[in-house]
Amino acid sequence: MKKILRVALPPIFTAIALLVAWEIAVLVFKPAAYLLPSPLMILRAATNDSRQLLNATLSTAISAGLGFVIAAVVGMVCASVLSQSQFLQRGLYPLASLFQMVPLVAIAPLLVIWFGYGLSATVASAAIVAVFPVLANTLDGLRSTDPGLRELFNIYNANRFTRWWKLELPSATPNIVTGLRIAAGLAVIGTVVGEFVSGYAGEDAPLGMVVLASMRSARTDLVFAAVALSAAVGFVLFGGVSLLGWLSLRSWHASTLSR
Amino acid sequence: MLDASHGAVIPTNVDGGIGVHARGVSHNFNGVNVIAHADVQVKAGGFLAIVGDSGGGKTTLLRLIGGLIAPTRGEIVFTSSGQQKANAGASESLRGASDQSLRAVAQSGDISFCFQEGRLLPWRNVLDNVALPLELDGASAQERRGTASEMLAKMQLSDSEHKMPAQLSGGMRMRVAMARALVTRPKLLLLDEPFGALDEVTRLALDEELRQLWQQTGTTAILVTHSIQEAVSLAQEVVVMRGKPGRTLPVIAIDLPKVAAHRTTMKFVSLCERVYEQMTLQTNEVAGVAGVAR
Repeated sequence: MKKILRVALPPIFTAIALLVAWEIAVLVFKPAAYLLPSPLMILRAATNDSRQLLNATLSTAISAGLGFVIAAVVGMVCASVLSQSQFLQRGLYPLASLFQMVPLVAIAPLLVIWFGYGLSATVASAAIVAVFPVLANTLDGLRSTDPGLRELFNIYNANRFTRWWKLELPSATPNIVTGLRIAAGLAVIGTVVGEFVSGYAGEDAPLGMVVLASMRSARTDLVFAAVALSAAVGFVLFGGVSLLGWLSLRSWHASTLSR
Repeated sequence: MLDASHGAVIPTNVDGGIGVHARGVSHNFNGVNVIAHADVQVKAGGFLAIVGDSGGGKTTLLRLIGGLIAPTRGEIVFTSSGQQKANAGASESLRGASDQSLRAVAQSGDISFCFQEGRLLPWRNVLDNVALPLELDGASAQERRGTASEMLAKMQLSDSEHKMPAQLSGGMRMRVAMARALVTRPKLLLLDEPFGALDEVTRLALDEELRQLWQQTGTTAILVTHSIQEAVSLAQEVVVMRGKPGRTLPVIAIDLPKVAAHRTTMKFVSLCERVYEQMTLQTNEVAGVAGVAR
């Protein structure tokens, strides 16, 4: 508990100090509310529209979560297949990395054409940006298995599947966790970009739509609230993945063993 | 079987081991001759030590014997209860065929390796590391844990069953690696500098433990080591490998009683001296002596 506090308290204090400074700055310089609302104004707007914001957050979280899970599964499966064949690796990996270079904003309209307006397009958008870091990191991890341990498995005549399941995959766990952590943040970004293009108005409009709609009606306070909430979705996803990673690595990996 | 506390008796014909003869073996790696016409032999249940310079081909010879690589020339012959299994390297087709027969020996868990780095899976606890060979051989969870647990108990490691490798000292890690190597009851135990990274006191203790395990199990053992004292105190025969490519020098028979206390005797010292002489031969002398050996 003491250790948790020691880690958690400094960033919390810093955040509070920054918010207080922001509040004071707004009080002193009095900028127009549509330019820069104060933290308290944002909080007030958020509580007034809490229902809509809560629905929006839920909708964005579902989309980001689904996109993340799809990216994680697809990324790990593809990396596992690629790791078993030099030929596939040479043929497909460069294409996969090229795919990574395509700006998401540019392909988001295509997703709307294929998936229509709504959840499927935003999930696809999230999965597309999040898949590459999982793939690349998993592949790196699978390929960097200790050659000594590989030899050990050869000595025991382990077949390919056994070697992958009992050796390569566990030894790649630290890399997989890294990939998943990056993917968690990207999934939220992908979702919000997808929502900008394919979002739908109404009761359960997602955060991306809330940002757009609030911007058009000069409700900067709501824009801030929606941005903060989408960051919170990313934070929860990232935190969840980090926790799972820590649980799976704590007993053996150098990154988690207490020094 | 033998009583470890009366280690003076040397098992000569224990059914626990297989005999090995690496006959005129050469190995070529990326166009470089690593080993030339090496010849070593160990009888079933025997203990052979191979010593020599770093990069002298000791480890390569051990890997050839274990079937991890195939010889470019020569053959490895296993003798077990009357039958012979050869790993010849005379021609491409022969080599392919012999690989299979070698594999047949290894598949049944007859050959076990123990490496200097231990090579434990860091994400598995001690028990599951020791059970790994049985697991990969298809044993049920209950069966393999039971056998592994017995092995650990035999080596007084039961308290550490649930520890992770990261929690163990270097010496403990090697003992677990030894337990893993022995859990399949191998007929041939190949040890590649198993205690090379340990401090002297731990090393002496583990040497003694290895000797007892060898005597109890009756397995054939081949130990690659840098340490002359370790080789002379454990093995029945010592072979020195010298030169580039590595050649084997004439076998030195170690007719010492296999007990812990002999390291201070004159005989021990003079045997070490003989090994040392071979290890410090000039390069031109090596070729001559190695030639005589064949």
